[in-house]
Amino acid sequence: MKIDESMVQGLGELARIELRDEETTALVEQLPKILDYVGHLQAVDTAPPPDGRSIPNAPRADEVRPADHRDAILDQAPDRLEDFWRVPPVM
Amino acid sequence: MISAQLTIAEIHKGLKAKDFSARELASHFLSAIKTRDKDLGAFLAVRKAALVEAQAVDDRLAAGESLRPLDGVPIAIKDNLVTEGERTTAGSKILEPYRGTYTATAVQRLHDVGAVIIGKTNLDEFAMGASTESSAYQPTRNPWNTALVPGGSSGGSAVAVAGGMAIAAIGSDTGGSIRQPAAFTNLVGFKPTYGRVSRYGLIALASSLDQIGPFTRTVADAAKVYQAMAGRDDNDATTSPKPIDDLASAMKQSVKGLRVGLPKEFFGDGVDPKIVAVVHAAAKQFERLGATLVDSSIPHAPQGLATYYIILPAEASSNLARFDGIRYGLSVRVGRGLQEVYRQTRDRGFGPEVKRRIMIGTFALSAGYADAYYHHANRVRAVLREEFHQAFDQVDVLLTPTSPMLPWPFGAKSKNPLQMYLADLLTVPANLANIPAISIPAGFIDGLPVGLQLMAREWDEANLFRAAAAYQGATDWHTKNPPI
Repeated sequence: MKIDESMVQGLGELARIELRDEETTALVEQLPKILDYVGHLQAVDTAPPPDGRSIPNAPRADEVRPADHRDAILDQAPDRLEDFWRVPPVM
Repeated sequence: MISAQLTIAEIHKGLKAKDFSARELASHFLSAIKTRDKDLGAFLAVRKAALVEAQAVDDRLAAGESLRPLDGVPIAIKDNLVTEGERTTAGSKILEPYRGTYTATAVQRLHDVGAVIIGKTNLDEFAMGASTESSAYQPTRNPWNTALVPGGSSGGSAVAVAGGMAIAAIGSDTGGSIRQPAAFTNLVGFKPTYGRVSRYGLIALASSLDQIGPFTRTVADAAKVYQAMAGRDDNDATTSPKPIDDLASAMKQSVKGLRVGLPKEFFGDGVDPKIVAVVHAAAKQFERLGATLVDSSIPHAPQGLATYYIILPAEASSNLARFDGIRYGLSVRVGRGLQEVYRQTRDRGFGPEVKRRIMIGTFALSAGYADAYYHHANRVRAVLREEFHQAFDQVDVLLTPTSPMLPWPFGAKSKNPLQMYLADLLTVPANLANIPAISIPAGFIDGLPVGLQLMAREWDEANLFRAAAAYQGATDWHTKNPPI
């Protein structure tokens, strides 16, 4: 796998981050080193899968609960129109 | 007399004897912040409301009410814990305009037992870092040597206590962010078992690893602050209904017969030999107290760091997707259309380390790489968990260094992200294994504090605090104060 400029730009697209040129350059230099380090994990044999003694899921009751801070939340909107968040056009 | 070295028990004694009031105590710490924090940079916000809260404690006591566990105790809160009506930045510019719309469960529980919340503390942006240098707002300096970092990501909380500006502080620990700054500032720092303390209102970094815990000067105070926060919360489905151990009685037990394991992987490559020597001396102390030292092993512990730096960015990239400039926080609306708002807001709002981790996480979760990276890392995590289970069949606690290195000068690791990540080497395994771990003062090297780490089996905070209290009871490292 090769980390080049177009791959970094592609990840930026997926992550919804506009990357400036100097950021792209820095990431093209840094990401391979980091991925190379974490890539050593490939050598760890995990078969057969251990049981993990995992924590059981704890679903809660599916109940409607009142939200008492509706207005405070709406007040945080960068662009509020009455009780709506106004957003730029999607298309 | 009021001093920054008071324990919670001493505060309560003083309040009962009317040596001082809760309001006087709060005023003392507010003025300590005013005079000292210019040089230390621990606080992002100071709460004037602390005086009102302290007055309420005094009024209760005057009315003859009995003392609650944290009545009058000035506590600082890491600024990734949401507080209603107040700024909560997580150290990021993207949250600069944000005001909390509710209060985190852990903070609410402190309020409920009388704590006085004195301010909100600096951190690495979104808790990503080991030095507090990635905060978008300010550096935080180590009171033991202000040319050095205080550790991170909860550096502000550590320095609030170590710098004499709070009695206790709250941090969050995803891979060592409480324990490592505690070690760097000569404090006790405790990460509970995953599921002990509610994460409701903690701005998520990596949801399967994050836990909230205390910074204090003493093990006994750490237990008190932890117990006030711990326990089931319906707003966090991962909190356990298990009863919280009676740590006060656990701490009265001697460590005679306690099996203390020394896992060899935590004393090897990448660990400063001087730190190893300090921790070996601490092991001898445990032996003198009647504990049995046992050679132990967590074979895949050295792979913990790589495991962590796949799982953490993956979870973080997903958690941070919510910061998009639409519903709250910074919103940059210069381009055409929704996608531009996302892209520009996240470019301006996030700093370099946050972007780097989002990119790594996006890669580790992307089609074609997810199995080799993210899913494989989770399988290695399960292997590591199993190795801890097996180790704890032979021992009651594990003893290791907290940090492989001493505090470093500002900027020394900022150019090379991997160097910074290596600081987490010895602390991430406990998060990956969900187990409780504590760092306590264990000595000094060239005038800089060194912490030892104890880990115990899942839910076994009792043995962890039993061991930690016994060691602290036999040593005086924690009574040493920084020059500032």
